[in-house]
Amino acid sequence: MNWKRAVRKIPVYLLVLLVLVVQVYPIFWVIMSSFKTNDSMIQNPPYSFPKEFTFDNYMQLADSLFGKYFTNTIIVAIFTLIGIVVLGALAAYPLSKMDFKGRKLIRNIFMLGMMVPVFVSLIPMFRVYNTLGLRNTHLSLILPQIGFAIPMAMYLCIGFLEYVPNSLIESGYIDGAGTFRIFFQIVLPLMRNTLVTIATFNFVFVWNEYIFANTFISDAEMKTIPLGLNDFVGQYGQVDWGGSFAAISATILPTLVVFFILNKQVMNGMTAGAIKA
Amino acid sequence: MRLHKKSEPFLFLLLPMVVYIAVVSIPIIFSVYYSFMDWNGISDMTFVGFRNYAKMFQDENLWICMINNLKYTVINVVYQVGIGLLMAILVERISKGNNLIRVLFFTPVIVSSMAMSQTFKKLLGINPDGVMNALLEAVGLGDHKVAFLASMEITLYVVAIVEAYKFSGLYLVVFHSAFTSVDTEVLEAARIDGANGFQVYTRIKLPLIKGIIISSVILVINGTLKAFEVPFILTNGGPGYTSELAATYMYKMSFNNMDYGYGSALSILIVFECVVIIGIIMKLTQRAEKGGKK
Repeated sequence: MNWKRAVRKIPVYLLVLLVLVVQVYPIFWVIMSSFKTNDSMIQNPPYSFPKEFTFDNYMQLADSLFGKYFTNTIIVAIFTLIGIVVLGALAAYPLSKMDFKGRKLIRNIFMLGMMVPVFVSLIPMFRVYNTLGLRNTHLSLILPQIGFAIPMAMYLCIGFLEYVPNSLIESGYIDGAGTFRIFFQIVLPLMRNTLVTIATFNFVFVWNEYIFANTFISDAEMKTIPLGLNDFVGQYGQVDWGGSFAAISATILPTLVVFFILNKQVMNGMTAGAIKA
Repeated sequence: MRLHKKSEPFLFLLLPMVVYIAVVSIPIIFSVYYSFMDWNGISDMTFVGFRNYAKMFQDENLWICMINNLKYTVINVVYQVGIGLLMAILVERISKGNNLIRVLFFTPVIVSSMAMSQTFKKLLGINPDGVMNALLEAVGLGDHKVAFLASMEITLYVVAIVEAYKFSGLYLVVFHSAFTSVDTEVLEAARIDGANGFQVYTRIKLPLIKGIIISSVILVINGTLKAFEVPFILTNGGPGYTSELAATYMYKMSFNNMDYGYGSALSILIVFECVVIIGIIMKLTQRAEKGGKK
């Protein structure tokens, strides 16, 4: 009986294998190709496996501006993520746990931001940045990314805070703690998992961000990875495929590492992020 | 009973509100203002009333973009929801390693549009040939190589499929969690009544998550109204205007043609489309919630 069941499952497993190949092959192919020598790339068809592995393509990255792009992206990512987490939590707490006039209105104003496409901010920000001399700065990328991410972060924090019993906060007051102390010493530690989720999936967004970078950054020294990658590939694209394969692989790697360690947070967070509409 | 001081909520809200209003709210107001102006970024703005909006109706290229966007949307809805469902069912059907498979299926979502587009540029290349054309050559179809990204006929569809491919993992997660929330008692009852694996899906699971499938369709529509990065990087809207979408067109009008007034009007058009779609989502979910509470 058992083998009959197994036979019936064969089409399912074949289908799984097929979909798996489709979903993974492009990334696998780029990484594989990044270890090929330029000669073997010319002589062999692009789908063939490398006959000898070389790290030359990566060595070459070290001599380019790639390191600079990497540093810029990390600086932007760190400040953006701190901003999103801190401001999201700060906004969520009073909107969830405090009673005051205008609470509903403020909450709705934030929620409205979830449906605003970023395009609408580009021209006005471009103009303001030009006037203030903020183009080609890290801040010009950090600010809009925080602003547009606050609503979602706040929304997820409020979702969690609904499960925190009011009596816990009340007992804090009875013990003589002030609002800020209750927030920092009781509420914030409880929110740790939610904040990690928010930071994790936003890391993927921030690491991959392209539109703001393409609009506000023109100085080669200030480029982030997604923007720099375009340059890199454009610059060497036709002649030196190896270099661009290595560049693409190196940009994917950090997100892959974060994803394989914290895949639950990334999947749930990004899905919620897409569903925010 | 209020235990906090009256000012405290506003102390908490001060910083988030300032950043949010500066980055999100004020630019919207400015965009509306600019959309009534003629402005090239250098000389002074001049008020032109509704001329930018009137221009939309005469702009044939915009109409091409809107029709492209429509085709793009249809392909994305079919692919993302269809493949998302297929992947969710597959993950459910296998008995071991579901989580690993789910993680691997999801991988394209976390790769940046830039890296993904660059990868597909190379996979689909012609002269030098990418994997697809090299495979055609290998099976003896060397005379029928396809210029996937430079064809007047198919490039729009290729770009749409790359976009759909990149994001379909999101709907895998959506449908997977929808399936796991289906009541197991219902499923057991169905099996006892003799339903086979296929029937369990067609008769029970899919009808039960119908609401989620419908809202996924709307979410994909909403996502593709804003689609920008994949067409912008992969083909830059070309060849000609064949793969140009509303958002890439707005961007080019603004930052390449320096017609910021018209660009602003176009961005307001995109916002308007999104708001309408989200209005529909909210109506539907509200109705679904009311229906559930009966």
